[in-house]
Formats: sequence, C-alpha cells, structure tokens
Amino acid sequence: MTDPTAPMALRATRLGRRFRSGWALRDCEFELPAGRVTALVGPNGAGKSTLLHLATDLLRPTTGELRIFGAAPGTAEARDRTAFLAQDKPLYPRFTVADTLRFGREFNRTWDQATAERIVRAGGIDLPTQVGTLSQGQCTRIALALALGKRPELLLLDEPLADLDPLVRHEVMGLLMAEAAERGITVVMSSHVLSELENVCDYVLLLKHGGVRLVGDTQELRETHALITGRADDGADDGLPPEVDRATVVETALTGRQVTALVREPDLVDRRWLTETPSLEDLLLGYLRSDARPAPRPAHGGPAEEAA
Amino acid sequence: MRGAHWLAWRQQRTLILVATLSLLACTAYVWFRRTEMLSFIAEHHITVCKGWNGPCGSLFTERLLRDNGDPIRALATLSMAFPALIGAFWGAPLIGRELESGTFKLALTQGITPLRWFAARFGLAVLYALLGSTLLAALVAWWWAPISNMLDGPYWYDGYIFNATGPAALACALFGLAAGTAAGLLTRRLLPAMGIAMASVAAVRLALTFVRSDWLPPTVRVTPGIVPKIRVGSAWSTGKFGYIKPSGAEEGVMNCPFSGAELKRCMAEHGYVARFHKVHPSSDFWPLQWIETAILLSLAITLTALTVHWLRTRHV
Repeated sequence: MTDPTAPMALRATRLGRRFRSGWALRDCEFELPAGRVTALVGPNGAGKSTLLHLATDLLRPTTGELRIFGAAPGTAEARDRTAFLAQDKPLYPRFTVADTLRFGREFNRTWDQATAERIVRAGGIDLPTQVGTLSQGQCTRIALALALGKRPELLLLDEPLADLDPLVRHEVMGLLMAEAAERGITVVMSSHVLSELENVCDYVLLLKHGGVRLVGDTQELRETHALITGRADDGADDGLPPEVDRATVVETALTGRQVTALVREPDLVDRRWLTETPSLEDLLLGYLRSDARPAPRPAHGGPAEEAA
Repeated sequence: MRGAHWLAWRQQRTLILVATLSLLACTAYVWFRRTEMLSFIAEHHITVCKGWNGPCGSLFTERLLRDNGDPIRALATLSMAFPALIGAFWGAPLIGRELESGTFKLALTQGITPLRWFAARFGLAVLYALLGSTLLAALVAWWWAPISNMLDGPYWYDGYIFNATGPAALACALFGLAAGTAAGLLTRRLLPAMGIAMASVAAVRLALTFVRSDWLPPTVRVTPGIVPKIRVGSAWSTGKFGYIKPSGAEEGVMNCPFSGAELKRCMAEHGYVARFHKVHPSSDFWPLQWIETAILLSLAITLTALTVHWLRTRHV
C-alpha cells in the first residue's frame, strides 16, 4: 500500500495502554507516513486521546512501543519534532499573549517567533492582552501559534475544532492547512466532524474499542470500497444478492425494500445494483457503525436504529 | 533569565512580590518595636533576670513583658504558620494547579524534560521558602532575645519560640513545601492539595511538640539537705521534684511539706539526704532543634524524592 522506504512519522508496534478501567488501546499496529494529513477517527472512548498522549510522552505505554520518526516519545529528538494541541487547549490564563509566545521561545530550540506572531496578529489579537480574557476561538489561535511556532515536523491535534463556532472552525482549519502545506508538516488530527475531514485529510486511522479498524490512504480506501444500493433480495436475511462475498461486507442498511451496503473490493457487476465510490464520510461511517468483527452480520434495523 | 528559570520566575513572581512586601513590613515593624523595647529597658534601668521566679520583678518589668510578650507571640505565630502557608500557596499549586487546569500538557510537550520543568520551579520555591523562614525565625529570635526566658514572658521551650525559631523552622518550611507539592501531584487538584499541605504541617508540628521533651534525658539538679533549691532560671522544668535517700533512690515530692522546720524534720524522719529537680537546661535548645531539623529535613527529602519518582514514571 504505502512505499516501504518512505519515512514513517508514527509507527506503533503492539501498542497497548491499560487504565484502571481497562484497556484504552490494545495491540495496535499501524504506520502513518510523513507529510500526510491523517484523520484520527473513532467513537468516544476509542483511544484517540490516549494515542495522542502516548505520542507526546504524557502517558507511557503498557505494552509495545510507539516511534516518532524512529525516536521514542519523550526523547529530545522526538520532543523537538513534535507539537501537540490538547483538546482543552490549555494556556496559562494569567500570561499575556506575549508571555505565552515567550514561553514557546524559551522552551524550543527551533522557535519561529515571526510565524507565531503572524498567526496571532492575523486573528486581530494584541500581544499585551491577557490570555484569560480571550474567547475560545482566540485561545485556539494562540495555542495553534504556539504549536506552529515550534516548527514541528509532526503536529498532533486532539479535537482542534470542538467547541468552536462554524466561522472560527473554518478560519482555524484554513490557517492550519495553509501552514501545514507550506512547510510539509505531518498532521494527525482527531475529530468527530467527519464531513470536515473530507477536504483536508489524505490518510485515515480509525480506532474502535481500543484497536485499529482501518488505516490507509483515503483515496485508496475509497477506491477499494463500494457503496452498493439496490432492491433487497428476499432470499437473504441481509437483503444482499447471494453472489456477494459476505466476508467483504462492512456494513448493510435495509430501508424498506432498499438495501445499501459498504463492500470491500467489490466484484459485483449485477446491473440491478447501483455501485458508487463511497465518500470518505460514507466510508468512515460504515466502519464506525459496523461491529468489530470483519464478518457480515444480519441487518435487522434501518439506519436510524443502526446509528443509535 | 532563560528557559525554565524564566517560567519559574514568571509563574511565581506575584507570590514573590507579595511575600517580599509582607516580610519587609514585618522587618520594619520588628525593628521599630525592638528599638522601643531596648530604650524602655535602658530608660528604666531594668535588669534582666531569668525564670518565672527571677529576682527582678517590678512594675517596669511587668509593663515590659506585657507590651512585648504578646506581639512577640503574634510574630512567632506567623513564623510557625509560614511552613503551612508555603505548602498551601506555593507547594500545592506547583504541580496541582497545572494538573487541574491541564497546563502541564502544554509545559511537558515542549522541548524540556519534566524533570527540568519541575526542578527550576521547585528550586525557586525552595529558595524563597528558605529566605522567608530564615528571616522570620531571625526576627523572632532577635526581638525575643533581650527579654528571653524572663518572668512571665516567652520561654525557649514554649511552642511559640521553639517552633518559630532555629534551624527546625527552616526545615519545617521545606517540609511544608514538599508536602504541598506532593499533595498536588497526588490529588491533581489545587484545593484538596492546599488542605493536605496545611494539615500535614499541623500534624507533624503537633507530633513533634508532643514528644519533644523525650528526645533528651533531663538534667538532675540535686541540692543537699535543705539548702535552698537552685532557681529554675531558663531551664525547662519536667515537673519532677523529689527527695533522695542515701542509697540514691528517688522519692516523690508529696512526702514532705515544702519548707521550714517541718521540712527539715520530715526529711530526717524519712532519711532523705537531698532534694532533686529534673530540668532541661536552656542549652538543650540546640540539640533538640537539630533533632527536629533532621526529622523534618528527612521528611522533606523523602517527599521530594517521591515527587520526582512519580514525575519520571508518571501515568498522567
């Protein structure tokens, strides 16, 4: 799938992390190539934040290991190359914006003050302002300025868009993607907003129940899947025609007499079935809804029940 | 200032400013009051004597002690409370507030190791805890020394003086800081950590005060026959008085009346040859101070080592 000689920004080997409440991540194996924008997707509690905390050495793995450009998280090498934007966007409320940028400068060898100041000023924020008086969107901007001012090679973002209004969301995403593209930063971004990932992400890592369910290039994944729609076949529980290999069916939804299914590597050429390339959102939703087992399962309900 | 030292200064400068101003105010007040006290002593030619029954009681000494005793105790109370304040307002937020507000994620994902982040900030706090406690302990001792152990004034073994002065006061400030810091790391919340810091300082102080007289064996003062007993002076009485038989055996003080011809007769009747009084002389102040310093310092070092260990092998 991916070029084996391409440098890997993130590589997990039998990665596991257990909390008192159980395993948050278990036996995860994946590689995220450098220079890509990866969407980290999964339901709540799937282990997304745990993975990002493991990558920043805020947590240590229980089993296995994670490597950032070959280096262990927490080493000086990994620290210098990684920037992290935590979900709650923590900042020191009593610092001024200028202090906050100085904080970045004091602690990072590769600090780029000009970039950080440009990002702050573009949001109409004055440097002497106290951080505690800023709005949520402005805080996100400061946190981003801090992360990008570090000139990271790998930028980890935990739900960067949560709690932002649509306008700010759009603005932040634009800023982020422009900076990332300009400097070829590898971005890993966890998000619930699947529709917003479509235009920005070219790689995807889907976690569910603490395990990897799907990983790969979004274009490749879309091309190797198909969304098939047709009149339900009365002969089968799931309504799909008998020639469909049930092992390749990711998810089926039966609505009245119509059935829609997400199928891996489809070879169905039946003219009665409408076959289309799934959008990234279709693809992710299909995998998010489907059970952890790769085998098909009988679809008893409509989409409403499935989504519940 | 660079790097972690800049952060330490930036985060603690308000505390440092407030503490410095308060300590300066204390110093000015003590300087003024002590000067006033010394001129009062000189003006009225007051001789300073030791002990509750010291032979220098007069209306002037009464006024001297009335005017200075309570203010010295108040200053000593501040010095005694200092470790608890350091623990709650300096130690507890050091890690506790960062964990509570999530800013540790910001600090620990920069190009700095958690240990250096901790060391610079804890180091500045240690420095200030030492400066503050030294100044307060010195102020208490300085003001108290001219009228120490006198009549009904403050004595060296009073909790007010013993806990507020000497090297143990410094060690206690470090213990308070270490306890607050460790509590912040464990509870991950500021308010509970502040409470734990104050409670642990109070608990350790109480325990130490309770067992203080047991660290050293008292000195036995023996007076033969009915020769008047040595005045208690600056010594800390253990409350153990009695009579001594020729064999050296000690017997309780209630066996005979306290003085006069009756005492003489009674002692002869029982075959007592001498009287004794067990006390801790004021020279015991220093060994007792060093013992408590050692205990408090060990506690502080243990807690700091645990904090560092938890930081290094953390499971945030």
